[in-house]
Amino acid sequence: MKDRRITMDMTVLEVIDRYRNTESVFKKYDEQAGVCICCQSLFETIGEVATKYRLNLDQFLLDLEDAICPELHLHP
Amino acid sequence: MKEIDCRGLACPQPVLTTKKALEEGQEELIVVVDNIAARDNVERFAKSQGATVQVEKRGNDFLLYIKKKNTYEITESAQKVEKVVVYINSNVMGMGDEALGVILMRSFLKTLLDLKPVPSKLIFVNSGIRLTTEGSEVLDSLKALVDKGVEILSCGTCLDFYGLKEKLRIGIISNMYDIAQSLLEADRLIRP
Repeated sequence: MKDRRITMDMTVLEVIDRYRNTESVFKKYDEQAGVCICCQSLFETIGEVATKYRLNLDQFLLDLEDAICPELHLHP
Repeated sequence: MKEIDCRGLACPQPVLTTKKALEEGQEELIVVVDNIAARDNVERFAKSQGATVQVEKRGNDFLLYIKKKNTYEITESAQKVEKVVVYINSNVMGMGDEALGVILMRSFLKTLLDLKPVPSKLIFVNSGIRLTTEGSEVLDSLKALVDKGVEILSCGTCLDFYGLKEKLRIGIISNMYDIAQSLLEADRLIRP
C-alpha cells in the first residue's frame, strides 16, 4: 500500500485546497455529520471532525484517499 | 480594489477563492458573501494570513474588506508590538478557595482592560470555557477586550466535553492546531 497523502492532522481546508476532488467526499459526509462540514469545521483537522461528528476515521480517510486517486484501491 | 463576488458559492469556495487572490498578490480585496458561515470562514482565513479584515453588512450580503500587510508594515509592527497571549485553563484564578478564585479571575479580566500591552489573544481551555459561555459573569469584560482588538478562542473539544458549544457567547470555537500554533508564536505567555 502506498503512503497516505491525507492524514488526520490535516485541516479540512488544507485537504480540499490540495486535493479538490475531496470536496465531494466532505459533502457526502455532511448528512452523517448533520451539518455542512466545510461551513462549520473548515479549520479543524480530519481527526477532530471525525471525533466531533462521530465519523469512522479510518473509513473517512480511505474515502478521501480514494477521491484523490481511486486507482490506489486502498479499501480492503 | 479588486472585488470578488462569492455569493451563491458553497463552502469552502469563498475561502479558496480568497486564498487564490491573496496568493496571486492582491494586496487589497473586497469579498462579497451571502451567508454567515462564509463570512466567518473568509474572515478567519484572511486574519490567519496576517491580513486585516473589516466586515460590512449590506442588505443580505456581507462585504469583507481585506488588506494584506506589506513587508514594511509587518516589520514595523513586529518591532513595536509584542504578541502577548493569555492562556486561561480554569474558570478560577489560582488554587485554593473556589469562590475566591472566581472573584480573582473576574478582577484579572477586568484589570486587563486598563493595562498595556493589550493581549493579542485570550485562549480558554478546559473549565476556562465557562468564562466565554452563557451565564459567565465576565462576558462584558471580554466584549470590551474584543472591542480593543483582542481575539478570543475557546477550545472546541472542551466546549463539547462540557456540553456548552451551543452556549458560546463570545469569540470563536478553536482547535488544538490553532491553540498550539498561538502558543508557539507568542512572544509572552501569561497564565493567570
